[in-house]
Amino acid sequence: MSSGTNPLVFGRHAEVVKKQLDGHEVSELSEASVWELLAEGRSVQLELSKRPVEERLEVIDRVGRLWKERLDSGKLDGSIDSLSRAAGYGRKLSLMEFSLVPFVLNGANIRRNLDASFPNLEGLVRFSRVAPGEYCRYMPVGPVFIISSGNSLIPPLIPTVLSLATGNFTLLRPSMANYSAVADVFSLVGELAGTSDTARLMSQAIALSYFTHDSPTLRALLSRGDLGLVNFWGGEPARTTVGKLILENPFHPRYLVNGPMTGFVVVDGASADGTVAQKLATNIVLYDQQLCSSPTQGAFIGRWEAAKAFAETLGEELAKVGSDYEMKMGEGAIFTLQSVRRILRFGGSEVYSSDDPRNMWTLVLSKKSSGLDDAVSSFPSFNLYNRKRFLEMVVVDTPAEALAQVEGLRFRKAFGGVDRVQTVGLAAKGPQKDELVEGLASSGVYRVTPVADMYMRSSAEPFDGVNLAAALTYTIHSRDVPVLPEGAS
Amino acid sequence: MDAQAIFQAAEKSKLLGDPYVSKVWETVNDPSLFERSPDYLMELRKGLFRESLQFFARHSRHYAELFERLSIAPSDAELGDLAKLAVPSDILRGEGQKPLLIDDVEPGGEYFKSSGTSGKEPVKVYRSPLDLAVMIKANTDLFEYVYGRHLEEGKGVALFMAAPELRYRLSFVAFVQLALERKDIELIYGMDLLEGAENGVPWQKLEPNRDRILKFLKSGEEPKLFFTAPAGVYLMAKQFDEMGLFKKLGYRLASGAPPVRLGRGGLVVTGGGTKGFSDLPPYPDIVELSAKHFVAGGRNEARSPAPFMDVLGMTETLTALIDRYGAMDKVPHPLSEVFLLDPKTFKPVREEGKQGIVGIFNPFTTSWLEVFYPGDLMVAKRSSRYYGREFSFVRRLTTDEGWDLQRACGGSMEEMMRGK
Repeated sequence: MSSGTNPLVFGRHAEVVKKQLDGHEVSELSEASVWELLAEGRSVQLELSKRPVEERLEVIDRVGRLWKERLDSGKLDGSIDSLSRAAGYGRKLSLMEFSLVPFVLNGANIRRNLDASFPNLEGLVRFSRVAPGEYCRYMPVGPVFIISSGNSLIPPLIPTVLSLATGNFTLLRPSMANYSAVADVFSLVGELAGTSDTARLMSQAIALSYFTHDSPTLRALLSRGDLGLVNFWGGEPARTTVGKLILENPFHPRYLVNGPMTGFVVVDGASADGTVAQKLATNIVLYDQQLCSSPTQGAFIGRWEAAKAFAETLGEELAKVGSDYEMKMGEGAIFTLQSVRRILRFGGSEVYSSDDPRNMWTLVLSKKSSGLDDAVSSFPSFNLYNRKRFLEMVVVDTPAEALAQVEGLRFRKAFGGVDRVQTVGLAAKGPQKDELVEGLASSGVYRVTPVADMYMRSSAEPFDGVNLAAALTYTIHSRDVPVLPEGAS
Repeated sequence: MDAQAIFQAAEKSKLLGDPYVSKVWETVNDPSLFERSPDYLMELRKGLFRESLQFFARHSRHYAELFERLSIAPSDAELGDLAKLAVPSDILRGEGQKPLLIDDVEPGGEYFKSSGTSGKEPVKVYRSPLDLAVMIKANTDLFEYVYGRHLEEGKGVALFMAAPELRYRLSFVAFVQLALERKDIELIYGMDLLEGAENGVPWQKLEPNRDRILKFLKSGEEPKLFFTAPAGVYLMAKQFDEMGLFKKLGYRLASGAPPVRLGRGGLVVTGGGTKGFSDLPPYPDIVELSAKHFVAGGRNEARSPAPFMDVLGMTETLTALIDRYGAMDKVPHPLSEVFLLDPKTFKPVREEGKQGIVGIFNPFTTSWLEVFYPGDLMVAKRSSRYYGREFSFVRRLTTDEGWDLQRACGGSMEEMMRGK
C-alpha cells in the first residue's frame, strides 16, 4: 500500500519535489512534470474518449471488486487505521467508509448516473443523432484538476471516477489526511493497466499529487496550466484564492465548486416515531456531522410536549448508536460544549445531553427560534466544524415556519462559512409533507431525502444541483441540414 | 470618582432600602467576619445565597424566569445549585452583561474591562457605586488578613507598575488605587501609557517611567508596597541579577537599589496574570529570583526577602482570591462562595486535591447575580483558617479555536485552516 504523499503516476517517470510541512516530508510533482502530464494528457483523453463507455466502466468496476477482495482479506487494515488516525474519526467509521468504496466504483451505478446526465451515452464515443440531421457528441472537457480538501475517502472518488468515465485526463490533489487511502484506491488502476488497452489508457489518464497551499507548482498549474476544468471541494479561504488564480489563466478553465453545505432535518409530530429517531441518530453520529448532508439543525412541527417526547427517544438512540462510534474530544472542546449547553438552557431551550467524553451528544429544543447564534457569539470556536453530535431542533407550529428555518440557515452566525442547506431529511406525512416538498423546491436546497439515509446518494441524482458527469464534458453539435426551410432567405 | 465619592454615593443608594442589600452591607462591614469558623461562614453564605436569589427574582424578570426554568426554588436553594447557575465569563464579553443587570440597576457607577491580552473581545462589567464601595471594603479586609497586618493610615508608599489611565479600565488597578486612597497612602504609577497610530491603526503600549520608579526606590517611607504583574518583578529582578558590578554600583548610587529595600512591612504584590508573556518561569522561580533583590525589614531589623502576595482577580469578580507565598494558598473573602466544577461533567467537585474549574459566587454584588466561571483550573485543600479551604491555581484551560477536524467533503486546504 502507498505511504506518505508520493505522487501517483503510471506509465512514465515523474519528477518530484520534496519539502517539509509541519515536520512531515511532503512530496509533490515538479512543475516540469505537471506540464508534461498535461501535454500527454490531452492525447490520452482523445484516445480514451473513443473507447466504448462499457469498457471504461468495466475497468472501474474491476477496481472496485479488487478493492473489496483486499478489504475482505485484511490487506487494507493498516490503511483503515491510518485514515482513522489522520482524520480523527473512529476506526469503525473508517472501516464503513472503506466498505462503501465498491459501491462508488460499481459500473452499474456509474452507468445509471451517466444515463441521468446525458440524453444518449453513445454521444460519449461518437456523434449521436438527437434530431433529423442533427448530432451531438460529449467530449471530455479536461484536462481536469480536482482539489478535494476533505478528510474522508469517498468524496474525492466521486468526481474523479466520473471524470475518468467521461474520458478526461484527471489530476487529483487529495488532502493530507486522506491522501494515502485515496492513493490506495487509484493504485489499483495501475495494477490493471496490463489487462487491456482501455485499462492502460485509464491508468495513464489518472495522476495524484499533493500540493502545499504555497506550492509554486500549484500556483503555476492554476494560473497558467492548459486545463479545461478545475473542480474544488471545500470552502474559504482556499476557494477564493484558487478562483482568483483561475481567473488569470489564459486557457480559461471552468471552475466548478462544491462548497461547504450542511443538512437539515424536518420532522412532524405524526412521523416522530422510534424508527425516525433511530435513523436520525445514525445520521448525526456518522462522520460526526461533517458531511455536507449531515443533519446539523432541525425543525419539529408540532406540540412542545410531543417534541420533548421525540427528543427523549432520540437521546436514547444517540446513546446507543454513539457508543458504537467512539468520538474524540479535548478538554477545551468539552469546556466550550458544556458552556454552550448552559447558555442555551439559560436562554430557555431544553437541553438533553450526555457527559460521556466518548459520546458527548447534545440535543436542544428551542421554541420558535434558534438560541444557538447567541451561544456561538460567546464561543466563536463552537462553529459548524467543531460541533459534533449536536443538534438543535426548533419547535414550530406550521410547515411554513419550518421552511423559514431552512431558508434562514445560511444567514446565521452559527452556520458561518456554509453556502446553504444541501440536504433536507424529511419525516412528514399527508398534506403537510406535500406542502414541505413544494416549499423546499424554492428554498435553495439541493436534496430532499428520507431521514433514514440522508448520507447516501442515489446513483442517478445530481451533485449539488449539477449533473457532474455532464459538467465534465462539453457538447459539440453537428448539423447536416439547414435550420431555415428550403427557399427561405 | 474617588473613594470618598464612592462611599458617599453608596450610602445614598436606594437599594439599601431593600432588606437583603442592607443585610449584605452590614455583613460586609462586620469586623468579626475573618474570626468566624468555616461552618459558621458556610451557613452564612448559604443563607445569603437563598436571600440573594429572592432579591434577584424581585428585581429582574430574567432571573425570576431563569430560576423557574432551572427548577431552583430560591427559598430552599442549596449551594450546590451554584453549579447550575454559574455563567461562563465569555458571555460577559462586549455587551454580554447587559441582560444580566437588574431592572433597577443604579447609575453613576463604572465599567471595567479585561486587559484583552487573550486576543478576544474584552469582558466588560458594570459596577454600581454600592458595588464599588463593597469592592473597596471587602478587598481591603481580605488584603489585610493575608498581609497579616493593617495598612496604617497615611503611612507608607506604593508603586504600581501600571499607568494611571488603567484606573478606569482594569478592576485590579482600581481596587488598589481606591483602597490606598481610602488609607491615605501615596500611590505612584510606574508606567506611562503611550498611544499612537501606524498606517491608520491605533496602538497603545506601556513604558516604564524612570523618574517615578526612582521616586519610589528613593523614598524613605515605609512600608513600601510594590504592585506589579509577575512579569514586572521578574524582569526587574532579572535585570539586577545580570548587572555587572560597576553598573550595579552606579544604579545603587542613583536609586539605592539593588536590593530594593521595602522597609518594615514591605511587600511585593503580584497580580494580573502573564500579560501576554509566554516565556515566564514558574511563579516559585520568580519569587526565588526576586528574593535576592527585594528585601523587607525596618532600619534596626534584620533584613529578609520581601514577602510575596499574589492576587487572583478577574474583571468579573468584585473580590479577589489572595495568597501569601510560603504562608497560605489563595483564600477568598469570607462571604464569597468558591466552588470547583468537574471539567468534563460540570458537576461540583468536593474531593480535596482534585482539579476543577473554579466558580465564584459573590453575594455582595447587587447589580447582577455574580456567579460565574472563567475557565481556570484550581485545586482545593483543607485549611485551618476561616474559610476551611485554600485554593491553588493550576492553569487556564485552553480552548482550541482552530479547525481541529477537517470536514468530510472538504474544508479548506489544510494549511489555510490554521489561525482560523
